[in-house]
Amino acid sequence: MKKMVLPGDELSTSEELLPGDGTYEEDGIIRAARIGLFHVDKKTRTAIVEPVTTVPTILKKGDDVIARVDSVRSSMVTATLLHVIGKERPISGETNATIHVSEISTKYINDPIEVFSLGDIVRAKVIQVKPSIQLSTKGNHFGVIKALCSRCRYPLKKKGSMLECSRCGNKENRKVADDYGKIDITIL
Amino acid sequence: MKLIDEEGRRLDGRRFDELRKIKIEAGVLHRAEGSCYLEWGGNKVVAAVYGPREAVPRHTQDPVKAVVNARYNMAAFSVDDRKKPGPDRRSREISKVTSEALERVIITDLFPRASIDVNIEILDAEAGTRCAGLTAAAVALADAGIPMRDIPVACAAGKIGAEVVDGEVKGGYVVLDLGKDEDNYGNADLPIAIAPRTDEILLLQMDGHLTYEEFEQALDLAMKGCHIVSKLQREALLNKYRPDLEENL
Repeated sequence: MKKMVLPGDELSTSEELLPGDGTYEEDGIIRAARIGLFHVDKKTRTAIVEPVTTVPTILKKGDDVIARVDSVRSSMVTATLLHVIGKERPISGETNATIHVSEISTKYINDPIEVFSLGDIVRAKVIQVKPSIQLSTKGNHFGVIKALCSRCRYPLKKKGSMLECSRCGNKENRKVADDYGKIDITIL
Repeated sequence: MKLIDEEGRRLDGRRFDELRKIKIEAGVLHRAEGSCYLEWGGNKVVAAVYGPREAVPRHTQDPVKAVVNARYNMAAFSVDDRKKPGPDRRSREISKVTSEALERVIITDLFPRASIDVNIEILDAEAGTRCAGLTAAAVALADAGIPMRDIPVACAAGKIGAEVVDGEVKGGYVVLDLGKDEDNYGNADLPIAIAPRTDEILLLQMDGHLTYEEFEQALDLAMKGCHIVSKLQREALLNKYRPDLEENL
């Protein structure tokens, strides 16, 4: 049976169980840290409080994220994390991330400027959180999902393997995600 | 003005150890991560919690823990004479002490570089707004799913009805939860905030004069008041989430 608990409620002792998600340990006693349903993971002997509220978003390795490119350098791209896909709440903590040139694509990239540009919105995977956030855009589903023309800042449209500006006709190359131009950025 | 009669009845008919009527509702706002609406006598307070999110500007970040930013604000229409909007000396002080009280119970080291923003809006004021605000903020934090060691709670006690005879203070009663006139014409006010599980004091301020014995008495009384309010906070949270629970089962 699962029991409803509030922050500070006594759940168990540290001799009996390990403190898990949504709990904390104080003076040998495991207590709830949030509102939720208390249950015990029998396999790991861990006390868990399953939340009934929304919970803060903590970035994990393997999360898919949306980020904005801040600068493109010769060996890496820096980006600001905007959102974790599938989460409603904002990212708690650090949002400065980098994509190393070797993590952009499975193909050889000589210089990141060939495939990313300032202000691009990209979908990426988190491959490291500590000590710094590292992203990867390897794979079909990852890469640029929205880009603006570097000459006139008009949204670029996909045309063959290139992106084209329908206002000034400028052609640009990007590492695009498979659904470029098909997703509504505003609902992410 | 006679604040308390010979039988120990106060202006609004309360006994010395009675609180005003309190109503708490959790999760009232849509866009905030957690929120609470609270009525405490004539006080009406809304508290909203945002975050944890990356603290800006970046120099305010703490690389090992989250910072708690409470902002206490009185609406222009919350008092008899219009209050000039914006932060003033009083509200900045209350914001500071509230932030520090909340920071003691929030498990901040889980969110390095983040800020947890708590907005406390006083819509209607009638003495004891800092206690009402902190109590509401605590419920809003729990509603936002922010890890906490306890749900903090605040309440005030004070002294009323003393007379000054030849420069000496005579008589007076230590009472719980001062009302507006008791606050304005009384002798002392002692708002405290505690973590109810351990009775750790998170905030303690005093306005006016109390003897050492009166102080001890007032502190005891305020503690008792806190425990009563704490039960109401827990009820409010359970009321909000029990229906969710039944759906899940």
